Amino acid sequence: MSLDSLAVGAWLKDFADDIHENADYLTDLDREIGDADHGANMDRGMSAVAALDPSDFASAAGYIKKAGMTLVSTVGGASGPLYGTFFLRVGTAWANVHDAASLGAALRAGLDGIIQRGKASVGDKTLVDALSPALDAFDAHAGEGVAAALAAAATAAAAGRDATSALIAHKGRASYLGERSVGHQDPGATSMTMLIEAARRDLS
Amino acid sequence: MIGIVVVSHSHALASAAVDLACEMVPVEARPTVLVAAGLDDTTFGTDAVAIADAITRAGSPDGVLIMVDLGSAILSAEMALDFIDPDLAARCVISPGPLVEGLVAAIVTASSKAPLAEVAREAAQGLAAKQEQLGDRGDESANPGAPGSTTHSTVSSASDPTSTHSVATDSQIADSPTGSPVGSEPAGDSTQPTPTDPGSQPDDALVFTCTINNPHGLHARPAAALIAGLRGLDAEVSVTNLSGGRPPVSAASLTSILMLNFKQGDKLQARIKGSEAERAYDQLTALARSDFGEKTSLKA
Repeated sequence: MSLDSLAVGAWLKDFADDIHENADYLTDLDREIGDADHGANMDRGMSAVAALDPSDFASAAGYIKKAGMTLVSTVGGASGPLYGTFFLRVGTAWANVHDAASLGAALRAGLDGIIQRGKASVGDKTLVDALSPALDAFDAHAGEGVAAALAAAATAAAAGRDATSALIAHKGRASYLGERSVGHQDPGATSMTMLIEAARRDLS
Repeated sequence: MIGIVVVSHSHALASAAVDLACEMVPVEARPTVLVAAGLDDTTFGTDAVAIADAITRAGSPDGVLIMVDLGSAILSAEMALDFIDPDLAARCVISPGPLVEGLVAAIVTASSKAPLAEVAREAAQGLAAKQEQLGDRGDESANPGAPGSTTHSTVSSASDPTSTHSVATDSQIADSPTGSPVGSEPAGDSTQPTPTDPGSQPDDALVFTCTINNPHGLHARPAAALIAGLRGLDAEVSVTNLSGGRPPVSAASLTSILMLNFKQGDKLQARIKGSEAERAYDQLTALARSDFGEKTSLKA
């Protein structure tokens, strides 16, 4: 297991590629229930993150925090402060990461940051609905190692993402739609699932 | 004086809102107002780092009021407070007020050197005057001539029985200014203030009365001129619309003055207390003579 800045760089660049390839899809999801900018915003932000050179940073922690600040300044929509807070908190906790349990703790610090910033709970039809079950699954399988934990997390994130279709949005622009948001998958939960799946590919 | 930061998804929107609001206050009296809006001139978005920078530059010992539009503007403004000096962050308020109306109220109130809490209160109440006005007009336009409009106006006067103030006294005063003192004057000169014998008052307040000549009434800019004219005086001034039915309000509150909905021809009465009450009275006299900065061309 390698969780140095090069491994983290591979993770974030993989995520950036995935976002770029799916930017139109994410924007289409957002058009249904939001302001049709999630794909373009995340693509702009992650392109800026992908342009960072991980080897320029003394530590993976510093690189992850810089990625967070980059998102804060380039995404523009609510995903900027939310993903930005996630990476700032994960980066702060990354110095302690050395095994599956500590990786799970660092990711959970990111989730806590998102919840604190966005004041969203599980079931509000947000990216929390992918990340929260993913980290529960991660913790449940942390004893089997990072690869098993990330595999479980990715499966749970996808299930959480799919389940957002049935939910009524309570946060963000989609909340204006109320019950009309039902039947549409949440774009934030969709991009968050891409982040977890990229972690499974690159951090295992 | 507090500083103000305007956070919006759109740089054009924020800049125009600032331009509009700044019209209300002479340039030398304006607070520092900075914009943190858009990712660039044309890309919508908010940037917590840029907001933090603007707050720091606008920062003053008196604090900073942050006006926001919606969605990520709020999240980014909250995040910006995490980035700045905690001492400054403790002197910042993110306003729940509407961007345009709240900003107007904030700039006018801040220019009177009001403390942050008071500016924040005015900004948060920014919609009140419009709600008050549209409560009437909306009803009338929805049901022209229908019983609804009558019902509404009845309700609006009945719900504000001016019970906090001596209605009888106010009515008596209302009679005097339009009566004998200016009776021989042309109607257009009815801004001629009419001193009222303070001895007849239940307190020792000076009482000033004038008629509003402004064609559009005492709207935001003349109301701002009224507040500015009294700025810095050790005088407590309350204002009533004798032609309306609402209780008196502080002459330092733009929102409250606008809620009195002064129309052309309405009679304004101010009660003035404090060590500089006479100077405040003189200021009000001058303000009224200039139609609160928008001297209207009525017959001489």
